[in-house]
Amino acid sequence: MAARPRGAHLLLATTCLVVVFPMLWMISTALKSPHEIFAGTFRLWPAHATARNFSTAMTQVPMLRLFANSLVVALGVTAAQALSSTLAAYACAILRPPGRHLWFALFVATMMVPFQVTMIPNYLLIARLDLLNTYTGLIVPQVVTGYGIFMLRQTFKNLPGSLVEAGILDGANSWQVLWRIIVPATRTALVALSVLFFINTWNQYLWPLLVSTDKLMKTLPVGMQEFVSLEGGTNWGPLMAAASMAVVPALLAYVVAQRYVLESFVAAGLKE
Amino acid sequence: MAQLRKPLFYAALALLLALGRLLLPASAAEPVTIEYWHINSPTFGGPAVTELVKLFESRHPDIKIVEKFQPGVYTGLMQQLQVSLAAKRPPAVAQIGFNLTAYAAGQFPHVVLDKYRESDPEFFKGIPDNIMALGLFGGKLHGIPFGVSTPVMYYNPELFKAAGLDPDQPPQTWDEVQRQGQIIKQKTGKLAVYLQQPNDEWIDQTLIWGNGGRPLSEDGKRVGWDSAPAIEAMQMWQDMVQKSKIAANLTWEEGIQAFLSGHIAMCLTTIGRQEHMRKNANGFDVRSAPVPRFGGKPLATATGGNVLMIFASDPAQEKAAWEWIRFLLSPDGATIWTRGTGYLPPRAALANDPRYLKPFFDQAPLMKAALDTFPYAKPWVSFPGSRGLEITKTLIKAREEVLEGKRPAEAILKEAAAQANTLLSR
Amino acid sequence: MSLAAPAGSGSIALAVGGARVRLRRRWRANAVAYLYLAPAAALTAVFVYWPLVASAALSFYDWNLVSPDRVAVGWQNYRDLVQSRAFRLSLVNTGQAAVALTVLTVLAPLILAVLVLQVTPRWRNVYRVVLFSPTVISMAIACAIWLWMFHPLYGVLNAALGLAGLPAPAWLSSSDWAIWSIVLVTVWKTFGFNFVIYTAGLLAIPAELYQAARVDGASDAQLFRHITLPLLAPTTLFVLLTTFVLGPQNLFIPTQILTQGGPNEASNNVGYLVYQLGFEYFRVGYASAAATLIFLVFLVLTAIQFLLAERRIHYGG
Repeated sequence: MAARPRGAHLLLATTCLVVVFPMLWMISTALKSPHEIFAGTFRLWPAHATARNFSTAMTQVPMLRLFANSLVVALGVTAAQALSSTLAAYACAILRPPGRHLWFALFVATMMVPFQVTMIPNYLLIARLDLLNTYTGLIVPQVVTGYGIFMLRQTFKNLPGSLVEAGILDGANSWQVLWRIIVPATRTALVALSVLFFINTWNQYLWPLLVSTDKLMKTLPVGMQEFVSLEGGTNWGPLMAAASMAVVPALLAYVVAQRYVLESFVAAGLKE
Repeated sequence: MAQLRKPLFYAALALLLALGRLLLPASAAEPVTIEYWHINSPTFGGPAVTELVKLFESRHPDIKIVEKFQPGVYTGLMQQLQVSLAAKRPPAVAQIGFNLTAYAAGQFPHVVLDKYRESDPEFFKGIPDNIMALGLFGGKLHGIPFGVSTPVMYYNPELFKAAGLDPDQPPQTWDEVQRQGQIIKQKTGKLAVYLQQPNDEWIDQTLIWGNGGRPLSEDGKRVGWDSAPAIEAMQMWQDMVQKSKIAANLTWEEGIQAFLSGHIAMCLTTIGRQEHMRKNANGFDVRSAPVPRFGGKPLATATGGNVLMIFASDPAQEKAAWEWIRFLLSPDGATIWTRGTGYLPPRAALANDPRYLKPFFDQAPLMKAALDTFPYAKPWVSFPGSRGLEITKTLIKAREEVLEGKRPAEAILKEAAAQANTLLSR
Repeated sequence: MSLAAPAGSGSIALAVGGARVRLRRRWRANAVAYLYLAPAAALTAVFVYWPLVASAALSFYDWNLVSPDRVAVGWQNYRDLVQSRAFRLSLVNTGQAAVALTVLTVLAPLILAVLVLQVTPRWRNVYRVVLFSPTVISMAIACAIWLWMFHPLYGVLNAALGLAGLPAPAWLSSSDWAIWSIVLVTVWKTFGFNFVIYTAGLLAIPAELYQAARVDGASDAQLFRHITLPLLAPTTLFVLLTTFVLGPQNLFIPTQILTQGGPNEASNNVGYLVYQLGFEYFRVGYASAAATLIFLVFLVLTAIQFLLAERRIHYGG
């Protein structure tokens, strides 16, 4: 590529510092005592770092339970989204029945529907089905994803025709073609998409807020709100401690899959 | 003989069972389970709620309370309440903020509580009339006032000292605030005062009441924001921000943070925050004083906090809900509650009762200012009608515009009041 | 490559890169295809389109979902909406925000992705993780953190501005700056996503193209203009469309947490407005009208963008 690494480094490093600063601030606040948090002066590394906020966060809310709930829901939604988008994209891109353009447009258009429109009717439905405060109720309505179908359709369309051809000639049916040929060939795309689904669902707040009011069924973002009270005062230290802990799985998922993320969008090509 | 044994055996068994049912006590009825929704986070009364539930259940084994914390304070609770009502699964009892009570009373299905005046007169003794009135709308009792708070003026004695002022003599009138505020600004360079600016108009109403106005006319047809006392009070606030520049124009969270970190000398906000203030103040002991008066006019504040409303439709649940409410306002319940939150007890006498709350008030000096203000508490008027919540927002927007200072307060308030009055009539 | 049937003979033919395979009946192949569509279709119908239709129906009422009085008002909600100041300001703000979001989360990530490719592979991974990290936290936490950054008296942002001698506004309390505070937080939180997409797009461009052009004596700028940009066009379209559609929705949480649409509607935007009408005022019918209107506007705008762009983009080879 072009030969000017030093200029690039300068710009990138500056941008990185600016971008990462608030994250550092979050961790730094998690390590500070109230005295330091409200010191009113700027200081990144605490003078007297304390782990007390972390223990407070763990005891004041059932952190492990919240983690577990978030994990179950995130994994459930991710798996369901990956599966349903794969099937739908396979149909749109490869099987290509009549009407596929309309269906594709409908899927993609779901991205434009404001969540406030879907939230309450879905809540009422889940309530009527007696699925409030259950994992099912948390997972199922979140499974729709126009973004995933959009992306996977592009990915599948970019596969070389010879791949599927070989499968057909071998006498494979559509199901076998999908799982033995298409999915292995696009697994990096699927992994990437799954990571993004996971991170998105992990941080989801509004839907779990509605559906799980039981203390033990809350997910992490909802549970963390216990530290926020405009009436009694927000407990900043434990809040940031909880947030720092909540970041770990999501960040881990990204770092581990980073290789796949990049390669995948390459395979998707996003070229028609 | 063997042939007879089986039927004999069964006959004996049947007899035993029949006798058993007569002799043994009837099995305990299934406990009634009710949901109680509150805004008490772990640092704002959460443990008190847990304690209250435990104590109540030990005294009432036939009732089980499932308490649920709702994020987003009273507005957040209200939103969750609305959807749960739409799904026909509301909680039996919920805390409804005063500013939302008229809306809930008028627009959400709930139990009207006047009938308990006859069936349970004991409960109502000991609650001052001006407090009980907070749950009245259209002449009917819709909620029982439970969390009662007043605004107080927290202040930073160190900044006062640094300005050469006496920290034991905080300002008692708004003129004093401005006078001392100027001195603080000159001598220390710090801002002097912050009046809370949340997504409600509690302080705005406090100012209006304090200056002799009414937030809502007696007939409920006109808001009081364009009355002379209101205009004068809001103009004063605007001047403090824009002209003399001793007051800060910040969002609520920012203002509190600035006070706690020593950047602002005085902070007018709810007594509910007293524990938070005490724990987080950096480098100074927070003190409190009653809200300043307007010259010679009597002290008046809008009352903050919540009422308890019953949303249960099942009679057994309603009965259990009333028991729970009785307990919450009982001397035992109120003591735990007040200690955990800093809210004042509706049964005002408990504050001076050594068996109950006197010890707490004695060692919580910040509470004294609230206690002194209590007798002067006026309602936090919430606006009737289906557009009541929009009216509140209109008035909040007016305040935001006033503090930004691009136009004088009078013009802004007259416009806002006109809009609000139109909404009132819908 | 497709498994679709060309017209002609009564039986169905699968044309796959030239090879022809016969299936017995068109409807069986298509039925199978519909089976694959079924899960996503069912979920979409139940959880997105039925609510949308129900919401559109609700938009003709004045109701809060709960009280026993439900008043049919015809088109009044729509009329009120179009005349309301809040709606107008929301549209303006959203429009301005959309422009800013486009520049900052479509243009900037592209530049960053290009820059990253100019350093050694080890550094590349570091930069990529760091630049993506804001995307990993929840928006609510991001707002909580930025609340401190924005503090006019001692927040980091104003401290830095002060050092540089620039004016330091009251970010959340100023009607001029409030919307930009929200945009700033949203950009910070979401740009990493497009950054990753661009990175992948760039990696897909074969190195040989650049090498060949260099041999011909092309400069960096020419390489960028004549190779990188055109080959990235499909990626750019994807990014543009998704940012345009999802960006305004991303503004919601920062608005709710930081300014609640204030001061005096100065930072209101379409995402927050629907929430405000439905969840602060509980005017569910009115909110539904707003939501339906906004959905239609976005649908039309996106369709136009898509059609225009499809025409102008030529894909290589």
